[in-house]
Amino acid sequence: MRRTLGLLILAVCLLTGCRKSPESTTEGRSAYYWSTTFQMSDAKRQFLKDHHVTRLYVRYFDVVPGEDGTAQPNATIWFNDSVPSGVEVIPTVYILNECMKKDEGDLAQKLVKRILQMNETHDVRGVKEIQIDCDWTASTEARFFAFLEEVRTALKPHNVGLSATIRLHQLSGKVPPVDRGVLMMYNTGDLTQLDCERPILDMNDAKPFLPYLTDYQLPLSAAYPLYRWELVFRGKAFIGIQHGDDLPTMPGDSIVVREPTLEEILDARHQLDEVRPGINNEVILYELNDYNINRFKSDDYEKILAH
Amino acid sequence: MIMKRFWLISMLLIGSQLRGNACAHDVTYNYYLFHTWAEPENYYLRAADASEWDNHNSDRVHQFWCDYMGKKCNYLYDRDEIEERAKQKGDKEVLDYMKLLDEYMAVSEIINHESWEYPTKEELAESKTKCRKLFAAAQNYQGTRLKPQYALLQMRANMVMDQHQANVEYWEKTGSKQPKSVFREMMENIYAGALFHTGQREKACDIFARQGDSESIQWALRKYRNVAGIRRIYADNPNSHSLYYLVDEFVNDVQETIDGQNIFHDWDNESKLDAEGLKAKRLFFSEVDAFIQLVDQVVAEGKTKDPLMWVTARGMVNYEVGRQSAAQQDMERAAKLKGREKSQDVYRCVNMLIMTANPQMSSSKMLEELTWLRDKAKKDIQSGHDYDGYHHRAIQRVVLIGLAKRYHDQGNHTMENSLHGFYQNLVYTSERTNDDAETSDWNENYSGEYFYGLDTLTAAQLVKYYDELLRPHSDPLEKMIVESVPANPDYFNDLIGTKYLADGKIEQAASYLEKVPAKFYEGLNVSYYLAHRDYHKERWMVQQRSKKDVEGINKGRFTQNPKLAFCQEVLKLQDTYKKAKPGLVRYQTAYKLGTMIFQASSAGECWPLSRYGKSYGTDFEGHFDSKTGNWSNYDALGVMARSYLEESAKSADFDLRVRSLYGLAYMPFDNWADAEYHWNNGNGFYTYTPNRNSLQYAALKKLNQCVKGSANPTPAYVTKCDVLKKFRKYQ
Repeated sequence: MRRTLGLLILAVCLLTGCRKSPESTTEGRSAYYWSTTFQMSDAKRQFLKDHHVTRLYVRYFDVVPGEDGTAQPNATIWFNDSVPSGVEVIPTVYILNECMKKDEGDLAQKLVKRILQMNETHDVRGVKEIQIDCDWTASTEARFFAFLEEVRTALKPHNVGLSATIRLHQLSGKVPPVDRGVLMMYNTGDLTQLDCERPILDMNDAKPFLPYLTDYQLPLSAAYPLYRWELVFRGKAFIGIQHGDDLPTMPGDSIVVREPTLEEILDARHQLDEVRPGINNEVILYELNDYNINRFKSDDYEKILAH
Repeated sequence: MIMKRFWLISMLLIGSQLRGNACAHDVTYNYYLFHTWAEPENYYLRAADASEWDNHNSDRVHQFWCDYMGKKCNYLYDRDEIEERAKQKGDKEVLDYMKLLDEYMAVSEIINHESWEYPTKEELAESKTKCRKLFAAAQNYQGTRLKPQYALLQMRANMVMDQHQANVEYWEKTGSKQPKSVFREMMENIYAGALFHTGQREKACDIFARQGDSESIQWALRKYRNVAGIRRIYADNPNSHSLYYLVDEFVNDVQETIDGQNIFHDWDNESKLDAEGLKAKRLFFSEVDAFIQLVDQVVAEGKTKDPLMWVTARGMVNYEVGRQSAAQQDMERAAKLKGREKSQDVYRCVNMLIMTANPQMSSSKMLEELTWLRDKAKKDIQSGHDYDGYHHRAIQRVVLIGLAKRYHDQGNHTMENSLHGFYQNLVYTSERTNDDAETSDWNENYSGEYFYGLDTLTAAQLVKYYDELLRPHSDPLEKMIVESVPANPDYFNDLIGTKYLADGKIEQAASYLEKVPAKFYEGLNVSYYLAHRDYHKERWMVQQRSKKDVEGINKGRFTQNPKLAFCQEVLKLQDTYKKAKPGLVRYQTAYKLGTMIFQASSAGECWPLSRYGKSYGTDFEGHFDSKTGNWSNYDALGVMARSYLEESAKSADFDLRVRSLYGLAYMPFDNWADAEYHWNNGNGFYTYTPNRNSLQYAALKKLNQCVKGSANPTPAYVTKCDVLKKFRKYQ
């Protein structure tokens, strides 16, 4: 009987081609928290509860070149609130690619130490993983990967895993030495071009990268955008991103709103599922804030988050 | 000089980084001319780097402690030293304050969570408690002597605890009533920060602008540094101090963009621009036009108290983009408008620059204005701010860019060179009041752009330039400039003579050098070499080593003019050489001449005979051969020395022939082979690829043949010669 079952599995594998992309071992519903103050409004708490979001990727700080050129923490989050119970935090650090252009010595050790200390200082418990976000390029890849190895080594004694964000253009390159990745399904186009109508999410722009996804040898989850941009253009020239009323404009300037529709998000989900089944085992929303959680009806969020 | 990255460049996606460097060979003198925003006492800060405000305050706090210590401090005060002094004095009040200050420093370090060492929960809690205690202690201070310091401490404690509203209230009720001091200014700066944090950006920025705190205002108004931003601030308050900062930034950004374009000529030919470049150019000019429209609106509305500043800015922008006649009209219009004292100051400088582009420039008016600016610049230099001083920077732009271009375009190179002399003289004569200048052992007349300019002239051009300097000038401006250029006859006769000497025109050199007294050479930076190196010694036989620290004035003493002595000896030998028939005397004389002249060449040890400086690591300097139209590795003296040795190498005397060929093979003007370094199994070694067309190769070949084909014993200096050994191996 046991032999029969084995043959059956083999047959199924042969029939399906058994193309093995590593499935994500992580399941669930998650969101990024990308602010400098950790403040859980009632609305946010309710959203997490209503939609069973149990994991938050919280940006702890950025790493940027300091005045002396060495990597320094910047824009560290300040915890004004406690983490809602039942919610797992994945501390996330954004590293400016610039910092990977030269050897930074013990950066990995300093970074891990700081994250662990922040967890302790602010009672963030049960951290099982940290995430590094960096738009690395071919010229910084070797140094960045070596850095990731060092981070992983430094995390090991604490039983903490390591993940990294993966941008679409990075899919064609080498796989970073991490336990898993989060595919950023956003910023697909050039926001500075007036004729780029969907700079946040356009599957036409993403499509050329999807074939790499099938065989990408890293467990992956996917993050989808909820945010919007108000872009200011003067004629065809890009002036900047408007936050509230902070960017002065000239008469005749156009303010263009860019935001993905529900259909576009769902289509992205669907297309990823097609090429990489299992990638949506964990769906991550980018990002948790009061505007983004009120954009759609509750059922619509369910559609995005559904496994 | 650091030029900040230009916002328009990044905004317009050109992607080029325009940076200047005063130390670079091509000096651009592109300091910003339009600076109106800081208060007069912080005048020099207007052009300074972002951190200058902090440094400025540190200096003033430092002065406070120096006064307390009762001594002149030339170094940053030492905290422990102050504590020691306070203990000696039994000054409990100061000791208590220092203790609190230490605590504040420690607490702020912990609470500032942008360091790699993140605080523990306990440290954070303890710091907050300490901060509250610190605040209370500062609040309870009953004395009078350190009242400003304690008031500042209170505000600092509030700031660390994010109690911004409390700081707003404290300043308005109490802090602002403190007497003027650096501590009060620092309090007001914290107050401005608190205003910013509590949503009162404009009020905050006005204070930053007034104080000259460029770092804070840069950040606070980072999205307003464009015409749209200026419009909005103006609409809110037509007399906001932030407008000075924003207009300065806009005008200077235009200046920087145009300076950049002048350097790279990116925009000259639209057909060569890509889509992004074209977009950038059009957006730039649309911003410029929008600014001009805004100025017209501002002046027409009559709400501003400083229309002079606005119209001057308009003129400067028009000037920068090449609309000279519009710029002149702007300045005529501005002259009738009212404005702050500082705006008037900037107006005069901008007006001078614009005048330099006016074909009908009034020479007497320019003279009047230049005299004013020169006196102001002198004060900048003498006040110790030197290159930070606005007027010093302004005179660079007006004189070395504006007027220099005017004379250059007129083909008046004498005046163009004289302007550099005028400027250099201004700097040196002003600096002579400083201690440093008085004790200097370096002759500045042989460095700086003026000297480098003179050094690029030929001997004939130098003669003409010097004649022009001495000629009476009827134009009042030219007269003033030329008369301010030092025309020391010894300096120029030596300069001209040296140029002729370097060109190998020994007789002409001597005719100028004979007018220069021996003592003059003690004032050269190369006096040591002139006095201690012997040009009779064959460079290829012996090396004349020097002591350390031999450069600078008064390192050598002279009883006769060393350059003239050289020339006279060469002339005498040349005479003998010319008269001698082929034979030993002629060849021996040729060898002597070759030896001496080579030593005076750029590759010789007595190079100070023919130049005033030489870069380390440069064995020789090439020269342009007008006959062939090519650059040659040999300078003129090198060529002469070679031809003499080639002559002496014809001697039948074996010793003289070998010496001559050895000397020719030594001459390092071109290499007989290219060396390549290799590393193998822990051993390094060279291989050589011969350059068979080189003169050195030919010389080595002849030397080799000479010694191999002779029955005479080969001299030891030849058998030991490494280069010849290598030549034999790799030829």
